[in-house]
Parts: sequence; C-alpha cells; structure tokens
Amino acid sequence: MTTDVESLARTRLAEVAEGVAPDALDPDAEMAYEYGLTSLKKVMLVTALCAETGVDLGSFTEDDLARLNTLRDLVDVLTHHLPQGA
Amino acid sequence: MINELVEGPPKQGRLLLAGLGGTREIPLPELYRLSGHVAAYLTGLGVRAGDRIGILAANRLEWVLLDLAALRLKVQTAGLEPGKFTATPELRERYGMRLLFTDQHAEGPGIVPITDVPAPDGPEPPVPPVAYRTGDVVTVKFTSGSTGTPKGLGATAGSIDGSMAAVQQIFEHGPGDNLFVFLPLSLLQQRYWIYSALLHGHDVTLTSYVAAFPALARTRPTVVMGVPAFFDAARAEIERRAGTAGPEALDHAAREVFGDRVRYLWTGSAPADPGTLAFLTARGLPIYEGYGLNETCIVTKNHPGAHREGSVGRVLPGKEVIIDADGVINVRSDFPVDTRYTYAEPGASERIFRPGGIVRTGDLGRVDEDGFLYVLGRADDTLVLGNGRKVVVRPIEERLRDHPAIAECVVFCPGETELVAVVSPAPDGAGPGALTAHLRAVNAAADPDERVRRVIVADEPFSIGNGLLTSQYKPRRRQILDAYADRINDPKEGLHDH
Repeated sequence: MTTDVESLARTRLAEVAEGVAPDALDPDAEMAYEYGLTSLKKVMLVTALCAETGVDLGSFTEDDLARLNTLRDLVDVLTHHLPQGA
Repeated sequence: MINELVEGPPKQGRLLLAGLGGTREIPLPELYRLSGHVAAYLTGLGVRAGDRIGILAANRLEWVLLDLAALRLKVQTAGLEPGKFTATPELRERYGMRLLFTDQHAEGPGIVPITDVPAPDGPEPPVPPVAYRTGDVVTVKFTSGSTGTPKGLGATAGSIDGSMAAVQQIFEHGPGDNLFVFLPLSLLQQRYWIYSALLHGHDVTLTSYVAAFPALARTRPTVVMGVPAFFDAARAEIERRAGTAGPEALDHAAREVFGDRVRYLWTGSAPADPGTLAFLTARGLPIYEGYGLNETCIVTKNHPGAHREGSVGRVLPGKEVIIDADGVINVRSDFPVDTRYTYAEPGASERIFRPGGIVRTGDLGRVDEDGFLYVLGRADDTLVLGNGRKVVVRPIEERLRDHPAIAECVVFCPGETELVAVVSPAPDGAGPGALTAHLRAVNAAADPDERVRRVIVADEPFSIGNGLLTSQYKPRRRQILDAYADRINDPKEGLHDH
C-alpha cells in the first residue's frame, strides 16, 4: 500500500473506529463489521480522503464504493486514482 | 392534486440529477414533455389504463419518467426497492405487473431493461386526458412482512392528495426551494417531492444514498429529507471537520456539508437521537420529526409554526389520532391509504386495518394537551439498518428458535451494520458446532439484510427470576441488551457465520 495514502486512510478510519489506533487497524478486516463503517460513513470517509488526496470523487461509481470492503481496498483504489505527479 | 399534475406541463422548476461527481439539470417543462413520449412508448408496448407496471431500479431519470407517464395514462405503478427484490418473471406475475422495468441483469417475458425507456427530442405526442377519483389506486407500495415476504398495499389518489396538501399547508414549498431526495423512489413519499415540484414550481434534486453527501453542498438544497441514521452521520462528519474548535467552526462545517441554503431538515421513519436534533438545530439547521406508517401515510409533523421538542408534531389535517385502552396509537384518515393489503399473508390485514378507515399502528403513544403526539415505544420488532432499510426481527427470531438447543432468541442491531442474536440455551443444549450450522442454514434462506452475523449464547437461560423474561414468559429486550451489551457490541464475540 502507498505509504502516504495509507497513513491518511488509517488516520481517517481510526476516527470512525472509536478506540482503535491507526496502526492497529487490520488492512484486511471488513470495515463494516470490524470498525462499524456503515455505508453512509464509508461515503463520508471516501469523500474526505478524495478531498485530501486530490482524487476526483467522480472517478468512482456507486458499485465501486460498494466493493470497497477493506482498508487495503480503499488504499489501492485511491492510489490508482491519484492525480499524476501527486 | 394528482389531477392537476396530469392536466398539463408545469411552468417552472428543475429536476437536478446528482451523481457522485456531477449534476445534470432538466427543466420541469422538459421533464413533462419527455413523460409524454414515455406514455406513448408504454402505449406502444400494449400498456393500458388500469394495468400495472413495476419499476425495480435505483433512482434515475427513467424512474421518474415511467412514474409520470404511468400517472398520465392512469396506469398503476409498483415501486420495488432494489436490494429487497430480484427481477424475475415470477415477481412480475406475483404482483400482477404487465411489464417490469429494471436496471438488473434479468431476462424473461415482460421484463424490460429500464435503459430502453426513450427520451427523444421533438414535440410531445398527444396523451389522452385522464381523471382520478379519490378511491382510485394510483400505486402499490410495499412494506416489511412478518413472513419476510413484503406486503403490498394500494395507495389511493385521495390519500396522496390529502397528504401532499397537508404538507404544503405547513411548509409552503415554492419557487426558490430545492427539495433533496436520496432515498429510493420506490418509497412513495419520496415521489411526493417530485410531484410537489411539478405542482408548486420549485426545484427537486434526485440522487442516491451513496451520492447524497457529495451532492448536498453541490446542489445547495433548501430542504433535505432523510432517515435519522443519515443525520447522525452528518453530525459526525460536521464534528470531525470542525475538530476541537468552537461553535463557529461547527457552523462553518455544517454549511460545508449541507450547503448554505437549508431552511429545514425533514426526518422520520425511526426514532431520532435528541442529541442530533439539538446539534443540527443549533447549527441553524432546524430539523423536524414526524410520524407515519406505509399504511397511514404522514400522520403528524413538527414544522416551523408548531414544534415541540420530543414530540413528532401535531396531527395533520385529514388525520385523527386515537390512543386506545392499551395506549396504542390508532390513526383514522378522511381518505385512507387503503382498507386492506392487496398482497399479504392471511390475517395480516385484519391485524392492522380496522373499520372506519382506522389503522392500529402497534406503536405506543400519548397526545399532550396541545395536540402534539409523543411516541413512547415503537413496535419493538422492527430495526432500522444503517442503509435505511427496515428489518422485522420477529420472523428471524422464530427461525433461529426453531432448534432444540435454543429456548429463546432476541435479535439486535449494534452499530446499524449487523444483526446479532442473543439466545437463551435450552436445558439439553447442543454444542457450538451445531448452533453455528443452524445459524448458517437460517442465513442461507434469508434475504441479505436479514442475515444474523453472530449468535451470543447467554450465560444462563432467560428467566423471570433473572429479569430477562416478563411474567408472560416473553423476552425483555431492553434488559437482555443491557445484560449482554459488551458482547453484543464486540464484533469478535459469539458464534460467527463464517
């Protein structure tokens, strides 16, 4: 996983997953069940991360969002859509 | 009102179709013109007044066009919620639909891809005029059933007109307003806001649950319709953006999330967190709770002219609330939604529909001296998930209890993301392996929203003595939740279905 994006994603996800430190988040855990990430919270998380990384939210379809189940999925897809030179 | 709506094109207003990354605007007169083409298209497919078409798709332009075209032809619609239904020939036959339009990959007689619905240029073809009487059924709506199969009931023109007129009287939507709709159009009430735009000349934004937050600030609505979980999530986001800064930062973050034009927020369908209501109101975003069921439509609503904290508002014109001897809220309507279910298991209609246009809701309530309704307890077998869907837990509990090792079972929904069952073990209980196998079998036969992710086996059987059963030997949900809260909320606890 790309370090900067991962670090940012961990920080933001930890804000949702109360009581779990960023470093303690399991990249392969299902975020909905392990960290209480409802579908709405997931949209908010992705929206915030897009704003912070410069990724265009319009790059995602609703199906793309539905398929983001783990922290690793999230980091991979954000990294894929990072603006060139970022 | 429906007659007015189908009479001719509106003069102003826009439909804003908002996706994750952009917004498309369609003037309402243009929307009306397109609906005339779709009416001609339906007629060409053999659809006639009195027929029924089904729509099983996510919110999109074609949904709106099919609905308006059907209204203009006096064709009934059946709005089917994605995620709850699968487009099959059997579904089409079960609910008597001449055609079923869907965005799912499905084939079969009478199943039509919703992308086939045309939106051509050119003047509108002639559509013969129609007229609705108050008792005419306009649409079929679906509600959670105790067997897991959704019940269907008709909604009459009189009930739709009455509800929309009452809402318009208290909120006065008009030019300059932009009503924000993201819940599925399969819910009739969401379509009201499109009808309202056509009738009263305001804008309406249509988006989806997923795209709602990104679309809010971009489309700058004046009214946002949402379930409590949505506003809880908005509050959390506002607090996150503001960090530890003071009220000004919170106000700024609230404007970032909701845009800068909100005049009020609308919520209902489940109890709202009083803390969230107070938080949003303090941000200059007044939020009004209301009360109603599918079977009653909107019954009460707080609004700027009559708002009392903790209540769900005063009774709307055309409705009457009667609290019966058991403290249960009964609702009488001048124009009932319907007087029985069109599709339901035997006995279901009799349990809720009473003579004289009365619906027995099953919820407990009281009305204060000024006419404000307070809901004291919702029907306790209905949970609302984070995705806004309702799950009736009683049939799930019954299926889980159908095992010799389980004496009692209560299902909870911690964090709105998963169902967790607490079971009271039978004296000659089976081991964890058998219980896990039973859980898997129950889940395999259940809809996705109804699957139980974990089972927690209680330390000792529920009993009257330990306070976990009533004197009638019914499980006491609140006490069971309190007793096992730590394990219910810990995702690692219990027997898992995987």
